[in-house]
Amino acid sequence: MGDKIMKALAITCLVTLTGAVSSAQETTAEQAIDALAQKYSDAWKAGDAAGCASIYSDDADLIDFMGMSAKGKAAIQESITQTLGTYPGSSIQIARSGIHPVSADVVVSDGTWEITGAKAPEGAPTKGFYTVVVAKQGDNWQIVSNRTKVPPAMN
Amino acid sequence: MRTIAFLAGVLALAGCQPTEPPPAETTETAPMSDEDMIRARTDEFEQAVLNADVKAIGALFVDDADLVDQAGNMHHGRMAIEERYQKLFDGPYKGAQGNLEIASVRFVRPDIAVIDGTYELTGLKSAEGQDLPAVKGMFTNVSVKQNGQWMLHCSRPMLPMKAPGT
Repeated sequence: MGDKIMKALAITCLVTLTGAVSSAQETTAEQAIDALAQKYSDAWKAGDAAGCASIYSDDADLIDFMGMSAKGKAAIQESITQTLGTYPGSSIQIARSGIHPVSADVVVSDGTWEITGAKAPEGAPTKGFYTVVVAKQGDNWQIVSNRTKVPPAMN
Repeated sequence: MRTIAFLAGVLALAGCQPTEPPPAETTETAPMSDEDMIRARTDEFEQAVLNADVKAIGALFVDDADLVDQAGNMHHGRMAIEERYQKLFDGPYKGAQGNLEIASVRFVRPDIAVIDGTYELTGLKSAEGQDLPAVKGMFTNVSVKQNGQWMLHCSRPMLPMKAPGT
């Protein structure tokens, strides 16, 4: 009887610990992703394309809402430079709506973006959705893939 | 002279020896690469869409998969994804033809891949039964290898925004 109770307690503790660990991992990824978003927003406001691109891995890729792709951090920085030129003096708000762990060190995160504070050229979108694949490289989380989209009804 | 005769004898003997039987033809094929497996799964997806087979579509996704559709709506879990496709097959996708083309497969980890491509749907109908123009879109999927099978984890179809004035 005592053995059974001990086993039950051990299983309960194990389940609790497992839950705590996975919860901690998820929180870490969420915190990291939110920190990346904040870093991107801050760099955007400063007109700093290199700062925006710094949240990407060297081999990252980006496909924007028009279907244009940029492969590698340098190409992504160039793309961001052009975008910043389209929305000078603007701010960008990034709001994470969901996070989907794929493995312990790779997550998919979705959310929305909105550009404010600039007179956007006619036809240029000011809000949309994004999906990023974020992977842990060493101790750091970096974006390895970013896809943005603008549903027809949003702009 | 004697040497030549000896060599000729050896060569003659060698020529008389039964030849080695040709290697048995094997029916085994080389194992598919991960990229080939992913492309095959995409073909399965395309066929399932053509057959309007929501269960076959659902079987390509992990239980906890999610899909954010072209309008930004989240469909979380295999059942929700199947329901989404069932609604499409009962509506605008009814009788439609479609094809998928993979543009790139990128391995983020050996067992995690980001797959980009394009899709085209033709034969779409409005709710009133009128013909609708073909739809050309893009997709990004994240697939994971589980028990030797590549399964869809996340699917993100999108319609590229047209440049102003086009």
